[in-house]
Amino acid sequence: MHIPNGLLSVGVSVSTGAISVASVGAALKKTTITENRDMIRIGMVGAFIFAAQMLNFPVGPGVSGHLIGGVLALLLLGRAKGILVMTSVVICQCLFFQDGGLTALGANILNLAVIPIVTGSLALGWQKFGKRMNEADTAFSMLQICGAGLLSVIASAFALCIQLALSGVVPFMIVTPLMMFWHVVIGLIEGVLTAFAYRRINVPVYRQAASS
Amino acid sequence: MNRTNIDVLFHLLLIVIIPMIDNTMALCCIASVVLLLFGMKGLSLIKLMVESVGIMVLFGGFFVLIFAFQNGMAMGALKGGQLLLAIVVGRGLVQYYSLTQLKQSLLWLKVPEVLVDIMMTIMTYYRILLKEGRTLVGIYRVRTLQLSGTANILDRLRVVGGMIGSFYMKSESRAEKVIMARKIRGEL
Repeated sequence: MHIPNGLLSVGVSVSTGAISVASVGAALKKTTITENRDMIRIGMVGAFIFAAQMLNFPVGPGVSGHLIGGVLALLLLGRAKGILVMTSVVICQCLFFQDGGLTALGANILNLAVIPIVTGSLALGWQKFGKRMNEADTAFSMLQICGAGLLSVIASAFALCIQLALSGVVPFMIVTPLMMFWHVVIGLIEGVLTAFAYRRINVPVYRQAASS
Repeated sequence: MNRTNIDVLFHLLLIVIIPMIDNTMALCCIASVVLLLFGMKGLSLIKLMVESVGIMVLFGGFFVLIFAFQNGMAMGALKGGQLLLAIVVGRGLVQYYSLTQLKQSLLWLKVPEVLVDIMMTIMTYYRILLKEGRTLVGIYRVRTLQLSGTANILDRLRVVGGMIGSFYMKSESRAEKVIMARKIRGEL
């Protein structure tokens, strides 16, 4: 999903960069971190998502998957902090690991940080869902999380298709069906993984076991 | 404006410029100068190269292979060289300067403090978490030995999802330990 240097046109790079700057700016404005403790916790979630993205699990014959983590970041930190954490992960990957180009950083932040979290929060109905987070191990909530994970990946992939088509790299009608097919599969895996991961995190018995 | 800030800015500019160099000769010249500078700074070039090649294989290897397949071996080699050199510069930056110095420089470059703090924490702890994550992948392999084929995909995902959850909780308990350690040192 990370776009390398030189793939996007200048217009698309600049416009996606502007949208990303506005979104991250809004997230920064909404985030108030009063204690260092919060900062460390947010940083650790960032490091966790960064490390989780590097681990590939064999899912089927010849197929492996990894978490993107947008919806998980949303569930663990909320919208604004989630966007900031995902943005930091994308910047670190770009600067120190060359995963995604610097000229496409705006597009990558938009696709991997802003769109998954905004789509996830819309799909979950974040205002209502946030109030009943403790019931997240019910089958309905699990399905909701799974759906949000799926939609977030599909929305990101669709945004990527639009960016590639606008840049003149590939025609929209050719790239979209191919990308959609693979990303529905990836999204399903992401959704199920996020739901099971969140269920594990949210169950008090496991929490107690981990802390002991 | 101190020397560290200028040097960090220079490294970041190099990371931006290197992927745009389409001339093999120019790329080789810049690579020689960069390696010479890193050698003069006292960095272990072998360690730097081994780490950088590892990162390249992990992140950019697939992209380079596809690029080489589409555009020929020469262009693929050039793209691979650009990627490797940019990773070397990034790794050199992280190895030479302490995270505190990097933080000061990024703040000087007007990067928002919250983002800088998150990035610094990520750079500090991702290795530890990756190590724990690899242990978990090993446990996952043992637990799913009896599961085979695509029929048990949901079972596999349930196990992986649970493990990612455990992985998060381990990260959280590690964060608690970090907070305690920093409190003891009087940093908080």
